[in-house]
Amino acid sequence: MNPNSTRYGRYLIRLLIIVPGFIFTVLWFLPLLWIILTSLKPTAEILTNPPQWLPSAFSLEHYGRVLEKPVGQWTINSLYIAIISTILTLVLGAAAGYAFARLRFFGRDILFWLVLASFMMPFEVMLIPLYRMMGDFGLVGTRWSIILPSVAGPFSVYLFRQFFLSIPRDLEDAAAIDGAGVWARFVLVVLPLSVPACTAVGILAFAENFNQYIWPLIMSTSDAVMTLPVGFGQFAPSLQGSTNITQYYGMGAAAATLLIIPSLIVFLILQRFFMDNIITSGMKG
Amino acid sequence: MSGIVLKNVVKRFGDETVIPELSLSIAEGEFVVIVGPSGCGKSTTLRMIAGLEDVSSGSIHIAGRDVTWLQPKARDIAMVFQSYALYPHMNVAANMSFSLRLSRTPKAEIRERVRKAAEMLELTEFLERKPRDLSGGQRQRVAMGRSIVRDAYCFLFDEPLSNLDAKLRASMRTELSILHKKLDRTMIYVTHDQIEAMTMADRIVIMEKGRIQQIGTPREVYNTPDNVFVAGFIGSPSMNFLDAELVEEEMLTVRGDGFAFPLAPELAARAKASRSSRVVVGLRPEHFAATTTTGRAADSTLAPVHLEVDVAEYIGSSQFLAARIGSKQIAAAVEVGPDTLPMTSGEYGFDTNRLYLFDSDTGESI
Repeated sequence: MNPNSTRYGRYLIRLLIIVPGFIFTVLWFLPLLWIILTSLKPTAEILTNPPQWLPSAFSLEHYGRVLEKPVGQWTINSLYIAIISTILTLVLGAAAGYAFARLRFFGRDILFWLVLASFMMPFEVMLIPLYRMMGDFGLVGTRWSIILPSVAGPFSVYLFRQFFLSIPRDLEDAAAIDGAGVWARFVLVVLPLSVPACTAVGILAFAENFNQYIWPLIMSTSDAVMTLPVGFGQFAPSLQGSTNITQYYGMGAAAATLLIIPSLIVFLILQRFFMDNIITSGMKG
Repeated sequence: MSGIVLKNVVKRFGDETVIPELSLSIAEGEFVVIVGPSGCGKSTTLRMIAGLEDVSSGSIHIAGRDVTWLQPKARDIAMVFQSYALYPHMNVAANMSFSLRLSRTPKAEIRERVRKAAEMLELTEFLERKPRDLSGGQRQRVAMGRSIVRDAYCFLFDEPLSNLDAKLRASMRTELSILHKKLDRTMIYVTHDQIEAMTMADRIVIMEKGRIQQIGTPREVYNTPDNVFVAGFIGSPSMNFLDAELVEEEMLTVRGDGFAFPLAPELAARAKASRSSRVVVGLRPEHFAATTTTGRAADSTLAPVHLEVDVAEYIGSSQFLAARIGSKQIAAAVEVGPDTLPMTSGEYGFDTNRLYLFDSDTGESI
């Protein structure tokens, strides 16, 4: 075969991957860009026909209006809820995942299928029972009412289980021979090797808990508990009356832009651990 | 009773019986090698002794104690894994001291024991390194070190050398034998490599399909194999098997396609007593000779045999022949000295004092 033709073939394949990838990236990014630009436009330029991408002058007026609200308190609430939920999710998810991966007990597989099945259940179905449950506990309107339903979600259990199954069995056997019981094996051998899984679950749990909307909306009855998404949600133009609606587009966009920042910071800090896989470096030659 | 004893041990995985019934008794301080092809149940046997695998029935005794249902940590054993299984997040010193730290051994003693083991295995300069920064051979030594610091009653080895290159494997074999002498502990070593078994073992246990085929010293299993399987498994290159018939001629003779060997008196007597007429003849490659004239060794009786040589491989003082007797492919190793040209087809000798006979139905030795 002509070596040139195979080289062109390779370029062609690369092109077939890069071009659609580029198109999808742009498609995904455009709305985000629109929101960020809108947040910086003077009110008069927000709803124009034809649409105008760049503002004539950048303005921070919407940010100013947004920050008149108790954004600091909302941020503290959101961070408090997201951080505690994430920690509890990591602890409970890892422990449950390990039990499903390595321990032998009656009904293990059926239980695991039930955990997976709960994936399929839409949260909306659980809203009312959950609300009544929180009412019975006397937790409605507290931060814990937002935290508790989100910990030990099926996804973290599943992800940890799959990760633990990939850790070589010999490592745990060696630890068992060295005198380690189940807890010592889990804490001293398995967990230190699970940094990548913990990072993945940590990022996802944090983002999910930081951004969740419906449940905190129902549970937060005052600014003392209100989270950022719920607080910022108040700026949504559709929630306003019919007068002077345009400015809410700007405030909503400013709020949405601000909301991206915390998750982005967490991701940037933790993403390097994603790659750090040292599990198999003690095995073989 | 001391040492390690397995009584009527059975192991099933679901419906599949991996070990139908196994009894084995290992003396204190003995170096026993369990050898067999992959899937013969040797690793499972070792893991049952370690307590990593439950027995389906039967019992296991270590140093006179019934340990059948004890946790691995309560059995006073150390184990080296084929994959080494070093803890990747701990450095060499931490890997070696892990068990001692778990048992809350005083710090000073831990340091001393790790130092000693590291010295013995020439690992002192690597104590601060992580496993990923070590070569295969060094990792292997750390795995050894981890078990040595334990000072356990018994050491278990699960194919510990199979990931090393040939040269390193040979030198580690020697070191292991030396280690056994130094530590004077019971050692059970599992391998599929009969060379490792022959070179290191006090006694060899040969397994196939979950059953023990023969137990004996390396000399015994090589010289007097109990059956065709053991005869074919022990020895390198492996024994040639030819179908033959026992016929009464001047002497009792085995005759087959392209050969006829008169039997030595002792073997002839046994062959007569067995009353089988169809037999399998076993010829070890190293018992062929490049000459038909007797006299190489005092006790050898060479019988002539025609070899159709396909390939002669030069390996220095001897040559490996890929040849045919009649229509049957065989291997022969003949000592001819380093300057001999490649051997060709013709008359060769076989030492009939070292000929093996097996019942063609049962495969048992005659």
